[in-house]
Amino acid sequence: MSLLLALCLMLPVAALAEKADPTNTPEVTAEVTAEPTTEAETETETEPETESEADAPAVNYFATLKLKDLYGNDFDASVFDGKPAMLNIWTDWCGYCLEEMPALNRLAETYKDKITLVGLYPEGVTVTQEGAVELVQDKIDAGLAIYEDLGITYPTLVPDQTLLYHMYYSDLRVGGYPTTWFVGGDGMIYHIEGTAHSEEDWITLIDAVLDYMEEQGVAAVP
Amino acid sequence: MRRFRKHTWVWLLALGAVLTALGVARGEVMVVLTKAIRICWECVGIG
Amino acid sequence: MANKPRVRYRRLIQLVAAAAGNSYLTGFATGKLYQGDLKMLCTPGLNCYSCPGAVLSCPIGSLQAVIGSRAFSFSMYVFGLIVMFGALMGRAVCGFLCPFGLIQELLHKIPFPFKRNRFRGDKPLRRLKYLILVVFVFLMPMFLNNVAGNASPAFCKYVCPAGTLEAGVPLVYLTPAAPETPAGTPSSGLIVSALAPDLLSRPDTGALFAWKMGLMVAILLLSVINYRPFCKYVCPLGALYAMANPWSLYRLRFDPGKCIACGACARVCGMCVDPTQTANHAECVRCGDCVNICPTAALSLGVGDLKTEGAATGAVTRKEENA
Repeated sequence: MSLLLALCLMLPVAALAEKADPTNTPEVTAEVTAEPTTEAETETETEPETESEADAPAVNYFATLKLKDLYGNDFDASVFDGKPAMLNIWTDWCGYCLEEMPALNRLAETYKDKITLVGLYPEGVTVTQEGAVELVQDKIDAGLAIYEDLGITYPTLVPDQTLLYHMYYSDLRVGGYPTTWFVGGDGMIYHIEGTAHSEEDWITLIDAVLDYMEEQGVAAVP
Repeated sequence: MRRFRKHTWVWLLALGAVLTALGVARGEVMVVLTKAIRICWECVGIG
Repeated sequence: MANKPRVRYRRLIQLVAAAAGNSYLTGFATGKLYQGDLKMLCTPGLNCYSCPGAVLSCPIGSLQAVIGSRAFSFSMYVFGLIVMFGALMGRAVCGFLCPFGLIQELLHKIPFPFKRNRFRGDKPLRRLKYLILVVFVFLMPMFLNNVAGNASPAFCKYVCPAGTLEAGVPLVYLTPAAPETPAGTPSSGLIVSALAPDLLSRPDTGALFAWKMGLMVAILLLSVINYRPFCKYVCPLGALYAMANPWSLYRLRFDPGKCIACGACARVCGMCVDPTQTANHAECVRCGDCVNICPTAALSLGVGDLKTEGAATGAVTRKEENA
């Protein structure tokens, strides 16, 4: 009897929680997603194992981004076209993110011919009520302080509205910090790493992902 | 003195309400939310 | 005896509170936290907000989060909430609403030949939780800032067994850290291809995790022997609510006029409180065991004090009784 009552009382809270979950909001629609050109073919030589290969965008979404880095400089996203990318999503209050960044800095240099490593800093922007994206200067300053202190040289980008949507609200959404996306040369994500790692583990991981991407035919042709 | 002690909870409740309101006014709520919705492994003590 | 006050439904309330606070079942399936606005609010008890099922925030976690943040050095919002909960019910939060308190109680019910609440060192050890509150919840997040002005939540990171149980264990052992996209899911246009199956990431579970697991296991095992050891010796939230206990609106009432000094209440109390001496002692979690065992209905839990003289002070000296 008590258990039944407990269950009955639990349901409204669960329903309320589900309703308030922003990732369930239907208004955040697919308008902001990249529109693939319909008659394009994928340029891979091997057959990718995805179910949705027919919808694979011919345009590398990441290569179309027009983003600025923490310092306010424009970032040339054409580096993503045809070459794998490693997007390390971090924030200033995440201690482990900061701990792995010096290692990532070294790896960015070591692997620069095979994979482009950039940081992504979603908390550096916020979405206004009108739907515009604006910088949160205090957060940018925090990021810059970290960059200066750790001596990081690879760029960290501040996302735009569509990228923010992917990072926060789509089913791709970041579950925690740091999250690292491994993007193939075709702009599709081939692996998501949900935690920080040591330098040795990163080397093992990056090599494994690059091998996997080569099998899929999306690694850069040297 | 005993009357004061009987109603101390009212004073405490009022104090709590004022503190909460002040905290909301200066924007603390967003900090609470942003740190609660994405896992920070360090915050859980793993890794 | 007619109208004998009993504390009924406490277990039910504990179960409902625990279930309601962790009702985001999707979180257990996907390994991703609830991200809705309910998490602007805190539960009254200790409930880790990194638990995959949690729909509200932990007050102690949030306190550290704001104290440790770049923008603030103290949280008026969270502290204000805690003061309000304390003013209304003091450590009845511990007794009725805290999931970790519930877990310890259930463990204590497990039959075991050795059960011990009273031992030398018990009293001084009760003060440890105040030290933990000051050092791990306040001082460390306040002062151990990194270059960006942020500090880690030291209690959550180094101590909290509730977090290890509710968040650490599910996240590490029960859900993959990098969930696969189910077949046919339209995935935001950035189509996630089949994840290399052997590359599912897991967090490095090193020395810190071993320490947290050890601490959690120790407290859970100790709960079998000792009633609510975490509440007595470690919990910083309990320390805060303890300070509100003498003043809270919902409280324990003692009527010395009905007391026959049988001592049953003091014997049954898991927190080693003698309600006839100090009815609203800082260590009382308002579990109601003393209320239920009193043969003369001298004790009750309720709102405000009894109207009889002497009840408000809640104390009777043994000398007067035996005179």
